[in-house]
Amino acid sequence: MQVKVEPQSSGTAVLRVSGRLDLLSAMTLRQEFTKVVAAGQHRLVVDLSAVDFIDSTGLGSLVSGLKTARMAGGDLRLAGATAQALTILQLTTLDRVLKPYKTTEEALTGY
Amino acid sequence: MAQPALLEVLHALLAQFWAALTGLALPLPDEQRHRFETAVIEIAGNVIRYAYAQGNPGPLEVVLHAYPEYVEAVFSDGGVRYEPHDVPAPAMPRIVAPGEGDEQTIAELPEGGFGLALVRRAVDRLEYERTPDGRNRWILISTIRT
Repeated sequence: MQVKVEPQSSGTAVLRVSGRLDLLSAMTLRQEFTKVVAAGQHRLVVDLSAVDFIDSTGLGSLVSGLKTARMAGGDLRLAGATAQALTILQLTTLDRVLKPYKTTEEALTGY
Repeated sequence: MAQPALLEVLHALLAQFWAALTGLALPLPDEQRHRFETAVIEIAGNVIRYAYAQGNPGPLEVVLHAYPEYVEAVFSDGGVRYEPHDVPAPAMPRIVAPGEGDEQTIAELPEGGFGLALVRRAVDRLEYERTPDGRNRWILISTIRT
C-alpha cells in the first residue's frame, strides 16, 4: 500500500491510497491520519479508487481516521471506492458513517 | 510462509479460481466474488494473527472447491486452538442514524475485532473445528444462486 497526501486549501487534504489496505498496511495509514490532522488538516478525503482490496483491519484504520478528524472538528470522506470496498462497507454498515462519494471532486465540493 | 507472501499468494490463488470458474462457464456475480474473497482473506488474517501469533509463523493450507451449488474454502493450520471465549465476542459496529448522538457513537465505533462477524455476513456458512490430530479447520461456503 502507498499513501500520497495532497494538502488542499484551508485545512483540507486528499489522501490517495493505492494497493491493498489490509492487516499489513492498516497501521501505516492510521499513522498517516494522525500526522495529517496534527499538521492542521482535519477535513480529509480518502481517495480509494486505486485500492485493490480492503479487509476489516483496513476498514478499522479508516474508522480511526474518522475519529481523529472528528476530534479535531473535521471529518473524513471516502471517494472512488471500488466494488469490493463498497461491499465491505455495506456488510459492516460502516457506509452510514463513512459515506462514499463517487469522486474526490464530489467529496471536496462544499467541504 | 511470511505474512505478506501468504496474503499475496491467496489473492493470486483466488484470481486463478475465478478465472477457472469463468472458463468452466460457472462465473459468479461480482458481488459474491467480493464477499467470498473478503471472507477468505479475513480467515487467513485470523490464522496469521491468532493461531500463529507471537512470532511463531507456520504453514496454512487453503483448498478452494467449486460445485454447481456452492463454492467452498477449507483452511487447515497447525496453530493454537481458536477459543471463542478468549477473544471478545465478535461485534459489528452499531450505528444509529445521523443526529442521534452522532459524535458519541463515532467515538465508540470499533476499529477492529469484527472480522469474524463480517465473515458470517459475507458467506452463507462458516464452520470451525479442532481436528483430532490437533489442527484448526475453518470452512467457508457461499451458495450459488441461479
